[in-house]
Amino acid sequence: MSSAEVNLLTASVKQYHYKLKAYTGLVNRLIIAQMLALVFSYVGATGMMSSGNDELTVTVSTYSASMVIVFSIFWIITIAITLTTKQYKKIELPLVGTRISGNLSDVGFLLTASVYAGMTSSLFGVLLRIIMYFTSDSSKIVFDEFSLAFPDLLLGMVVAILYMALISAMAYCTGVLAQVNMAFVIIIPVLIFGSLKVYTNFMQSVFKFYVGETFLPLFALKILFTSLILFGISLLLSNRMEVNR
Amino acid sequence: MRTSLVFSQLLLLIVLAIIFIFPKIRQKVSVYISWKGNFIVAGLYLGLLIILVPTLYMLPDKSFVKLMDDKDQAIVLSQDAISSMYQHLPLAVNLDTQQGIYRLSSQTFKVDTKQLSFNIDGAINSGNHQIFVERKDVDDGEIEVSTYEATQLVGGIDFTKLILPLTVSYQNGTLSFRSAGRQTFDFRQFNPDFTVNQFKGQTFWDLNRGSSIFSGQIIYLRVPKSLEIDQGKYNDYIRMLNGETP
Repeated sequence: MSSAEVNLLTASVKQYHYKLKAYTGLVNRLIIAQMLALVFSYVGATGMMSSGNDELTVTVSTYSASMVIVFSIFWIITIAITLTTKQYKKIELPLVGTRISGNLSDVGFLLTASVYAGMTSSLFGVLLRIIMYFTSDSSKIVFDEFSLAFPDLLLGMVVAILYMALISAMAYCTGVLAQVNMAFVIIIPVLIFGSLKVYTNFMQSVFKFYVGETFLPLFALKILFTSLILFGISLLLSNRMEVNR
Repeated sequence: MRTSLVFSQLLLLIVLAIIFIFPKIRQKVSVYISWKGNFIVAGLYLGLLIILVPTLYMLPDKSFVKLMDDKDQAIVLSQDAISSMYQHLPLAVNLDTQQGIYRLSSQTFKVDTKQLSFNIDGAINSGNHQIFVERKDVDDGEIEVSTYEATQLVGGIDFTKLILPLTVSYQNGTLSFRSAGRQTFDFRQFNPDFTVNQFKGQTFWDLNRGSSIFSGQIIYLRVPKSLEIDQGKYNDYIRMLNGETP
């Protein structure tokens, strides 16, 4: 390892630790978002099936923590975009480092946030079950899936973390692009929504590439590879910005 | 209806709180909370959620509803038993031991007349229920009335045992059936998160375990050998077993 590489790594780690302290307040937003999602999940239920005849009406309300995961995904998107803004980049100024070390520390922070948000959002499934246990008549609760299997809980956590890592990489790349040229703020959503309308099959294939994958190691590989590419692009673009300035 | 009203009011309250109250609280609170404070909050939050995991597994087992394991077989067997009754055949099996059929009630009435007539509540006259009459081998002066229900399923949930039986009474040679009224059941079911579903290969239909199955109650009467049966206007609902015509 050359001294330049060591310096880059040391600077990145230092900046990462610094950002971890500076951005801890962002966790409060995640807690609020997850609490909100919990309220919606509990009061609104995530699905409902009703059936009946002249004398009977049977309603089955379904619950899951999926909404908490979705809200946490929104949180990580806002965090990833916020990190690329000038206001947040100013936080790096007191520390010695380059644009690359700053970006590497951002990536480190986003991955830490993904692990935290992925773990907590999956654990909300447990909280939802316990609340339901104490607030509902147990003779109305279906036991299957209420008894959350521990391997399923771990699987949910790993997958949630991977999804958050991928989405944070996408959002970070979008944020960096917006910093390169503000026109991307309009171009990117137009491209995404335009492709969804015009190239329906292509977009479905892209979606299925991740969501349709049922083999966990392959899914993890796809996510890690895509995230690596997206973070790499962000790093290159950000570095070029520094050279231009 | 009431839930949706509460839900919308709660939503409005939360949105207002986010817009007007939270930013002010954050501004004031953030001055006093250091990064260490935030760190402790984050750690406590995660720790609390982790502690909930063993708590969930230690909760005492209550009388939860369990999904049917072998629902297809139960449905086939109960349908077979009902169809043999419709064919005016003597019962090949004992209904009490027949899988997929549950006994809801059982009563015995002393007969004081030579003829038995029926009075059925208007709510029952929907064709959902059927009355099967079987003659005993003896004149013991008693009418045995049993009500049964074939498997009732919604989304894999067997709620047959929760159904209230029809009210049966006997007076002056008339056997009366009254409906228990409209019954409503509200079940709560958990689905795995989408992050887990993706790897379990479950679809919406797998999770909800197919369609709903409803059927009416079966009223099984065992009457004395020589009791005269007057079906009156209830020809469509009363069936004699053993191929007998009243």
